[in-house]
Amino acid sequence: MTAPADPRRGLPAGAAAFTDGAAAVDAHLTALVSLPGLGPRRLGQLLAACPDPVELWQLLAGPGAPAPALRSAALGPKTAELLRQWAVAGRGVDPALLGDAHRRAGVRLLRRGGPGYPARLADDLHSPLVLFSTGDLSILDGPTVAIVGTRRATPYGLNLARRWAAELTEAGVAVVSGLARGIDAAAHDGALRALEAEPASPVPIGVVGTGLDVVYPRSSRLLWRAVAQRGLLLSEAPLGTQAERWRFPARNRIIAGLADAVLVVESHERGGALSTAEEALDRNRPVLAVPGSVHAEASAGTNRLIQEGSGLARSVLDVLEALPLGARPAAGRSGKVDPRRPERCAPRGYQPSAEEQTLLDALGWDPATLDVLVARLGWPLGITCRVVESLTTHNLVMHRGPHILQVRE
Amino acid sequence: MAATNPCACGNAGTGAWCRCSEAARRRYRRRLSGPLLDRFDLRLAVHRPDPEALTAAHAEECSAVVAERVRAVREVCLHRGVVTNRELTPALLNRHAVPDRAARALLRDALRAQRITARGVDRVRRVARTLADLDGAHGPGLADEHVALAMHLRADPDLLLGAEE
Repeated sequence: MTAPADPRRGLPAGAAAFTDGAAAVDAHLTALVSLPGLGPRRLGQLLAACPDPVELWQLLAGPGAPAPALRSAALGPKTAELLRQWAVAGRGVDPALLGDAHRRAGVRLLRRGGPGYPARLADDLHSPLVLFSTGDLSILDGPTVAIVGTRRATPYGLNLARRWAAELTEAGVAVVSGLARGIDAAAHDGALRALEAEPASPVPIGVVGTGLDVVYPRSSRLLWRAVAQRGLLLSEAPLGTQAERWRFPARNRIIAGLADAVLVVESHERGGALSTAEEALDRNRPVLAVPGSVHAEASAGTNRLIQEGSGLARSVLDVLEALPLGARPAAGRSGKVDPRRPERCAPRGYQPSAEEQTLLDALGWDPATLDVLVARLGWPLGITCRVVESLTTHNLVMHRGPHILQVRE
Repeated sequence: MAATNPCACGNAGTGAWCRCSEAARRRYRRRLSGPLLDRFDLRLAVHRPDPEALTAAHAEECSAVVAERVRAVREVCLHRGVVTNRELTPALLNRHAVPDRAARALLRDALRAQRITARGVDRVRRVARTLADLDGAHGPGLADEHVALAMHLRADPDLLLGAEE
């Protein structure tokens, strides 16, 4: 665009556009992390070899790059190859333009040690060198709980994540999650609903693995937009960064670092949520898990977490009690959950009739087909149907494929 | 009559491992439009039978007995001037398939919650008429249990096919 064939390209073309040194450093850091495969660890290694990002960019991507001075950077066996790749990729990048694009998009760059950088991450085990953000960072000064879990969640986990996220928000706790499908999305959705009802509530925080303009997964775009408008979005990646496998575990450590406690709602035997839990344990953050049926694959990971010593969460009150004293929300906010008075838990809006309660008891918390319900109750098919129908209207049961299951909303 | 799988590999929601991506599943479901599905009166999820039940010896009702019940209902239909209840026109529905108070409340709640469409209401009434006939209740009224069962048999295709919320 503004860079014609300039023999000195990179430095002077860009440098002229910077109003101050900080803007230059930000833009060059952005350019550095936009190079393919240059993640937080390699950036740290490179900055150890050359602490000034502007100078580092010249050495990496300026004329004559890669500069021999960088050979000493401890990047491992692939050093030479990586340096060559970055020199090529960096030729097409103008740090000044990149910095401008971020400013225009309202994306703020937070440098470790710089203004606005979250205090929670400042002395983290692997604190990000740069973070990109949109939204109000002051939400990070209050209590936060991360709600994470599997993308392949069951209605049990989805309902619970949504409801607990709303209750935590009502109680004055900001909900942190990863905007992934499944539990993450349900948690953000619940937090947004509570925010809708009470605009003074804490806003949700989304930590993502892609650039803040690259919505992933696509199915989350409405939710993503809502969190971006009302809440805080954070990413380690500059604008335009597509989803890459390694970025998601890296993102999980930021979620763990930002949260006062981590709640795992559902997780399979192996899954990203367990890595978030591990990152939290490494940081001495309390980890709680929601128990599930021993038959439920989506609860295999959470049940194991409990077996291995995580806190067991039966309700939002268990989560609030696990928060360190300094991180507990002020009691008695607008919310229905008062952390000091557990007995004043949210009441059910609808009181089921006697026959509805009989059916709910027969159904229990595992899904069942209508045939099975009829056999358990010994009622005629039509009557059973009528009661199911009325419970559906009051949102106490839902249908899923051939199954009927109990929910709480 | 028509049948569909929950997804291209046929395993989604069955407990077996589904090889389709979420996007692929959604694409697969989108091939059947909502208005088209709304014209099916009976929508059933057929799940994989329990191996125990499939191999156990137990008494099933003989098809001839069921056929006799169907024949008796058709007899009743002839008195209404139709061969099957499916042909009941709106005018005939108002004469022969009038939901009682409780049944009207069920339909109203389902309409409000958008669980059925206006077209669905008439179709539910026709199916409920047949269910009542099979129960031997041939009067013009429709009880809530028959309407409820007819609505259950008209399950939401999205929920039936396991669409994500």
